[in-house]
Amino acid sequence: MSETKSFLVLNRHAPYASNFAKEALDVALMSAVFNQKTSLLFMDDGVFQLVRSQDPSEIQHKNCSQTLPMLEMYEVRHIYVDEISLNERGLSEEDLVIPAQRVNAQEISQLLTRQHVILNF
Amino acid sequence: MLPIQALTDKEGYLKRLSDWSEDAAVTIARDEKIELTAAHWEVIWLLREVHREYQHTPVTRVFIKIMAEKLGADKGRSLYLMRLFPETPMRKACKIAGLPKPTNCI
Amino acid sequence: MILHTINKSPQNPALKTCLRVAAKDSAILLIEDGVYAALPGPDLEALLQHKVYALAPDIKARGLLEKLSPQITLVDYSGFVALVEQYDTVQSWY
Repeated sequence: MSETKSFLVLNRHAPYASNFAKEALDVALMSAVFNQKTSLLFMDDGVFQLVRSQDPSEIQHKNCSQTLPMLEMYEVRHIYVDEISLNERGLSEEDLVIPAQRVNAQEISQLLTRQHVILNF
Repeated sequence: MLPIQALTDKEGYLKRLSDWSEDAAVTIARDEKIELTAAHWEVIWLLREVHREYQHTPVTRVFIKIMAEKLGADKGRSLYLMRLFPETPMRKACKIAGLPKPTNCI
Repeated sequence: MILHTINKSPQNPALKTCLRVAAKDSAILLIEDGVYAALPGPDLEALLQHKVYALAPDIKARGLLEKLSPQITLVDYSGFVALVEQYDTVQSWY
């Protein structure tokens, strides 16, 4: 195994209209299995992936929000959410299915800068 | 009951999760040359429960951690899982538990 | 340093969000519908805080050659590749 790299999985799209949410989560879990330093950041409509009480059974979709708590078991501990994207959509921490650290523009800027790899979904 | 071959794909995994039953598990296990004991059942039920709750089959390392938590530290070891489901434990356990083939077996 | 690429028109949140979090020293490359951000508009001033490139074939295709801000540098496909090599990370906003 090569050296550890920092991976940021950046989620900017709402769930269900595309497969991005599922693919992003698969990549995040797999990179964690390979001992990479994995973080996730949710921005723009991507914050909707974190909303509680999703039930896509009637639209024949897998419920990725149920898989989100697995991140902790894979030891992915850095989960960030853009506070402006949350505010713009009238969401707060209580609406989220897993705890995520609120970050501002300055913190996101630093977060992006210190990654080896940014994976966009 | 239909012959199990009618319900499984060519690798022996159930095509529809809803076709699973305890009888189906016994039949699939027999094809894998495994005689199910209480120790096997405990793991099968746990795996099904994890899959239902998280919509995800964890990798071996993570499942073993969950086994340690739920079944006790003495059972949360890869050797223990390997003894129950030899060679490719997660694949065999998933097959018998009526879950999709794990996408990886790390 | 990061090269940000944007391929959506300024109506999409991609541009606004990118501008909000892009570090001052990072550059922005406009491609596909992202090139519409090169026209005078509410976000142009914020955009021009950065070094800005636009993909010439996409600008030409959309008839924007005469309209784009003079501070924006046009690049062709090989220029695009050179930029990708020049920066540490490419971040695509789509």
